[in-house]
Formats: sequence, C-alpha cells, structure tokens
Amino acid sequence: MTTKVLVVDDSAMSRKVLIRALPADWDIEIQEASDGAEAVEIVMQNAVDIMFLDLTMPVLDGYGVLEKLQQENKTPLVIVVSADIQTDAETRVKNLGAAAFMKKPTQADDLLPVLIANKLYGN
Amino acid sequence: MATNMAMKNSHPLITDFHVDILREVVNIGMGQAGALLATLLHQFVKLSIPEVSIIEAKDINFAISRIVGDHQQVDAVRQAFFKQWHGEAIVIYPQNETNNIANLMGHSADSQDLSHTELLLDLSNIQVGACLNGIAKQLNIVLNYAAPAIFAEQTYVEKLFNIDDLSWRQCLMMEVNFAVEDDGFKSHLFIFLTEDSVPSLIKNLERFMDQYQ
Repeated sequence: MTTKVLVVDDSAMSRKVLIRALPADWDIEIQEASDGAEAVEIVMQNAVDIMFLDLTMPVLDGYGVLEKLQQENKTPLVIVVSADIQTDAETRVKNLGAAAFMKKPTQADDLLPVLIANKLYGN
Repeated sequence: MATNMAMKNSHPLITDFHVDILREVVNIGMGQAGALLATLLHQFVKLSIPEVSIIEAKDINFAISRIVGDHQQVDAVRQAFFKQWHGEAIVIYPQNETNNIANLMGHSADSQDLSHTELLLDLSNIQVGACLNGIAKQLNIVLNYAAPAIFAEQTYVEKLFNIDDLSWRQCLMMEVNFAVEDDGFKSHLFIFLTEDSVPSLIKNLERFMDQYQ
C-alpha cells in the first residue's frame, strides 16, 4: 500500500532537499505544507502515515504541531528535521511524541537508517 | 514578529527564490550558533525564524527598532567580516535584559571574572562566528573576521546608526534572534552584507543548489 508522506517546512528549498533525499524506489505519495497550521489541517482531513516536520516555522511551529497532534489523537509517525540542534530540542520533541530527530540539511545517508530503524522502508 | 517589512518583493538585488535558499542556509547557521549558546549558558535557547531583506541606509534605524522594539535602550557589538563577502555583523542586546548576561554566564565558572563588556564581546563573538561560519561552510566560502568591538552602549535603538557615516546606500540584511526562556535574555543578530557582495552571494547560492539538481 502506498505510504502517505507529509513534508512540513516553511522553506520550499528545504522541502525540495528533503524530498530528493527520500529513497527513489519508496512507494509513497507526497504532500507538502509550508507551516504548522496547514500541516495540522492536512492531517485532520487526510490519512497521513509519516510526517517530516521542521521546528521553526511561522503561524504554528513544530512543537505546536506535535502538541496539537497529541490533543487530537492523531498519530502519524513524526520525524523532526531541524536546524535547531540543541540536545534539549531533541528531548522536547521526543517527549511530544516524535519518533526521530534529524539534523538539517537532510542527507540521504542520514535518512535511510532512520527509515529502516522505524520499519518504514526496506525489509 | 513584524519583520516582514515593506522591502520584501521590492528588491531587484535578489530574487525571492534566492532569498528562500539563503533563509534556509541562515537557519542552519543560526541553529549551530544556538546550540553553542545553549551549551555555554546551560539553558534552552529559543530560535527565531530567520529573515532576509534588502534595506536602504536611510531606513536602517527604523527597520531595527521595529524588530528590537521602539524606544528600547540597547548595547550593541559590531564585528566586520571580509574576504569573499564584505559586511558586518551587529549583535544587539536590549539593555534591561543585558543585565542578565552576568547572571546567565555566572553558571559557568570561567566567566565569573569577566567584566560586562568582556562578556558582551565574548558572547557576540560566539554568535557571529558560529552563525557566519555555519553559513560559509554550507556555501563553501571563506570569511575572515575583525575583532568584535562595542558599537553602542545604553543607546536608544532609533539612534543606533549615524546614517551620515554609512558608506553604503543599500545592503542585504539577515536577522535572527536568540532568547532564553524564563530568563528574559535576548539577543538580536543582524548580518549586513554590502550591496557589492550580493552578486557573489547569488553565485554561491546557485552553486550550493546545484548539488540538489
């Protein structure tokens, strides 16, 4: 079954970099959102299996998205992709339910082990 | 934050496409600076969304006061950089909150003997160096830095720059800010790139994007 992926980042360039780092043969359908509020709206209306989530964004930031998902009992698997590399940032998002934390810029070599570890890709 | 000033979209110097790339490059540089600050201060540092705009010399005090806060007294540290780009970084500390720097840094033993000025210079040097080096490394360029110097003390933000002293007509301004939750500490980092450096910045950004084509 096709996996539904949502890429959330206010930077179009950053979304592009991430999408290019995804495995080419992965059976996915990609949606994009440019702020946290838009992301929450998409999750509420559609089935989203995996969310790649930036932290610093206008309107609603990544922390806000994670809180909202918890409140609404929506549970896509969230991989945070962040320029904020403080240890505390990682701890905070994991406490808010994120499955993984990755540093920007997204590199395919960093991404693949995360996808495999979370049983999202490859068998 | 009200940083989306009227200049946006009205600048022929750089396209929105390049601004988007630059913002993301600055974002990553800011993240590295923030992580270093967090380690130094033993606190979680809240990062802003980086902004990039083209600014006219005559508007600079207005633009900065809109970001930092009107009628705010500030201390500021300036650090020039050169080589592949020319420009300067200015770190602005709203004055009431600056008083917390000593308390903040008092957590680390080796900073206890430093004066307020030394703390400001040290802290600024770290923010400027980490952020600009983060940017330079991504774009594969080299920058050299002058020593940081006090630019203003307890000065109203509206009077920070003496417009007549500025040698440029317009420049590219990058802005990020760092805040420590619960403690009131806040600093604003502005990076001003001279108009002459913008064409090489654009080339750097295009070469940077080539790796993703």
